[in-house]
Amino acid sequence: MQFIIDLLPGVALTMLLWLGICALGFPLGLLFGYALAVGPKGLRVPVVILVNVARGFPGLVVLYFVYSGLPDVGVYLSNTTSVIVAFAFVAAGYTAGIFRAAIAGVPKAQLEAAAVLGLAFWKTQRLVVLPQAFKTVLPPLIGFSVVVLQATSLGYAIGLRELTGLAYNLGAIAFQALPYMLASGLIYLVLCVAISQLAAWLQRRGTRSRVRSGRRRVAPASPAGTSVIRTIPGAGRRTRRA
Amino acid sequence: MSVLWLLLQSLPTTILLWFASQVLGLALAVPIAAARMSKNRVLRTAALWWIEIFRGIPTLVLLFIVFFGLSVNGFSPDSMTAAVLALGFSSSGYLAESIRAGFEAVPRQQTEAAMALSLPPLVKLGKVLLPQAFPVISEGVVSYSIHLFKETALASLIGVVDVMAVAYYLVERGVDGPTVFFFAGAIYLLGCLLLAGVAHLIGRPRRRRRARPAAALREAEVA
Repeated sequence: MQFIIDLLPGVALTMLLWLGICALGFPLGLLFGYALAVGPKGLRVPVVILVNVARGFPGLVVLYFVYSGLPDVGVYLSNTTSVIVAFAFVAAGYTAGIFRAAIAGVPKAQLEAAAVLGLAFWKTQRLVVLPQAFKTVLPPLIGFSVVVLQATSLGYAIGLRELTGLAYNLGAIAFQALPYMLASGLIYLVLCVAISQLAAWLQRRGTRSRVRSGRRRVAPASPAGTSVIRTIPGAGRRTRRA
Repeated sequence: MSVLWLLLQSLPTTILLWFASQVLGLALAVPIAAARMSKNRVLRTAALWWIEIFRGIPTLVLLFIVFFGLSVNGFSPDSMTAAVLALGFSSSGYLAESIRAGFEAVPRQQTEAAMALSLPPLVKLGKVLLPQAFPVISEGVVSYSIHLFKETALASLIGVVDVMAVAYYLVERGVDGPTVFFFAGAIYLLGCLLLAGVAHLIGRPRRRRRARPAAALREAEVA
C-alpha cells in the first residue's frame, strides 16, 4: 500500500500527459481525417505520408526524435512537452483512420440534402456530418486513449518522473525495484480497465439508444440501420407528428 | 550512409527479438483463448484476468518487472531473455483476444450444423470452425505482429542492442540526431510495410479457397 501512495505524484503527471496528448492529438487526428476523407489530392498525399510515419515509427523513435533530434535543428522542448508533442503526433496518425471512416460513413444522401438546403461546406460539416461522426468515433477514441495512457510510460526514457519513471527511481533508491514496479503496473491496470469499461458502457448505451429509436420509427419496412432519416437527431419525432 | 549501415547491422537482433516474442506470444495465446472460450467458469475467469492484466500493464513496465523481478528469484535472465519473456507475455493477451474474435465471428449455426452431423470435436474444429475463423484470426495476428515489431524498440531500454539502441548510442556520440532517428524509424517503417505486404500475399490464395465451403464440408464428411 505504501508503494502505491509513494507513486501518487507520478499518477498525477501520467494523467496530465494523457490529457495533454488526447487534447492535442485527437483534434489533429480530426484534421488529418478530414484531409484524407474530403481533401484535395495535393493535401491527401502528404497527410498519407505523415500518417504512415506516425503509425510505422516506434513510439520510442518518435519520442527520441522530438527530444534529442529536434534540438539539432534549433527546436528545444522540455521533456514533458516532448512526450506530449511526440505522442500527440502518433495519436493523430492512428485516429486519422477512425475519423476518416466516420466522416466517410455519413450517408451521401445527407450531404445531398444539406446541399439542397443550401448549406455551405463548413455549416454542413458542423450541423450534419460532425454530430453523427462524433457518435461513431467516441467508443474507438476512448479505446485508443487506453493505448495513449500506456504510451506515456515511455516518458521514463527521457527522464520524466511519471508513473513508470517515478517507480524506477524510487525502486532504485530503496533497492526495491520489483515492489514499486508491480505497484505501478497495478495502477496502470486499474486505470486502463476503468477507461475500457467506460468505452464499453458508452458502446452499449449507443447501441441501445439506436435500437430504441429504430423501434420508434414509422416505416418498419427498411431494416434498422439503413434508414437515413433515423440518424438525424429529432427527425424521427418530426416524421411521426406529420 | 555509414549511419544506415551501422543501424542495419543490429537489425538481426531486432528481428530475432520480434520473432521469438511472436512465437512465445502465440504459444501462450492458444491455450488462453481455449480457456477463455471453455465451458468451465473458473478457466474462463482465469483467462479473462490473464488477458486484462497483460493488456492493461504497459509493455515497458512489464519489461522492468520481468527484468528486475526474475533476478530477485535467484535466476537472472539476460536482457534479451527478459525482453522476449515480457514482449511474449504482453502479446499473449492481445493474441488470445484475436483468436477468440475469430471464433466468435463464425456464425452459431455452423457449430449447430456440425453437431447435427455429429462430427467429432476435432473434425468440427479443424474442418468447420477453424477454416472460417482463420481469416479473422490471421488479420488480428498480423496487425498485432506489426505492432510488436515496433514494440521491440522498448527492449533497448533494458540493454538489448537492437536498432533503437544503436541509434541512441550514435546520437550520444554526437551524430546528427534527426538523421539517425529518421533512418532508424524508416527501418522500422519498412519492416512494418514488408510484414503487411507478406501477409497480404499469404492471405490472397486463402481468400480464393474460402469461396468453396462445400468442398471443405465434403472432406469433413469423408473424414
